[in-house]
Amino acid sequence: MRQVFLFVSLAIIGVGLYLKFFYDVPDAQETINFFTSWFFIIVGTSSLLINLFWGSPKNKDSHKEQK
Amino acid sequence: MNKKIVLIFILTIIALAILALFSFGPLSEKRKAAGINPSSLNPVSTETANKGDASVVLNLYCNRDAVENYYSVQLPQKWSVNAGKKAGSYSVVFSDGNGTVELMDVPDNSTLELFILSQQEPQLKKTILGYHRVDYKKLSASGNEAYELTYQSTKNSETYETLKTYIAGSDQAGVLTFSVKQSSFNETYPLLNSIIQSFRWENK
Repeated sequence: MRQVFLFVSLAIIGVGLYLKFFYDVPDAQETINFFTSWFFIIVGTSSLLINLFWGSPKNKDSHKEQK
Repeated sequence: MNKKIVLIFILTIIALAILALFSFGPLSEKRKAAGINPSSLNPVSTETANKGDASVVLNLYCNRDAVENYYSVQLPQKWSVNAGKKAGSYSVVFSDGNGTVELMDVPDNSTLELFILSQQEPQLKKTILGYHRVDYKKLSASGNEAYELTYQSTKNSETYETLKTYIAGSDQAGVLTFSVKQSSFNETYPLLNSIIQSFRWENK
């Protein structure tokens, strides 16, 4: 499950970077492209960080409880 | 819940709020202004040219606002030249009219001429009062493929003639638009033509 979440996070960041640097933006859509690309980058990065930190202390606690 | 996750969540919400302000809110104007390079507004050199009976002092402006789309253009010294609304553009005012020099994105799946005839001109017909095409021709501007659209319009019950020239570039197109009172259009045309011919892409 965690791997799927990680893959989705990386895919979101990838889409954001594509829109930011490679997509040929029409003149009238520059603002929406600015918003969408940064939205994907921010959400993707935060979900990646959440994925990294998710459950780490809980696992340690459960180890202690088991001991 | 993990404190780090709560912190990341809060920071994400703050970042998205700032992003919304920069995209659509009051800070969006600052973002657009940041794209304009102040040095683009300072003339690089000055040259005197003879246009008909009078000699005109021309300032050379080098625009460095949009990467891959650097260009230079000569504009008369006595014209008022300001930064345009978008990065890579100038707004000019002179005694008999006004104009703009700007960059325009042409979609990859279209050609410049097709884009002008299928998108730009219909848009002009819709938005400009009393639009009437006078001339349309293909030309060469400093070795670049260019298209010149001349049209008449009405503003404050006065007829203006506008010369709109699209100059093809490797990424975007340069668009020079000059609106002049119809009565003085023929007199101003040689000067406008020399400005168009002075347009050069700098990254070629």
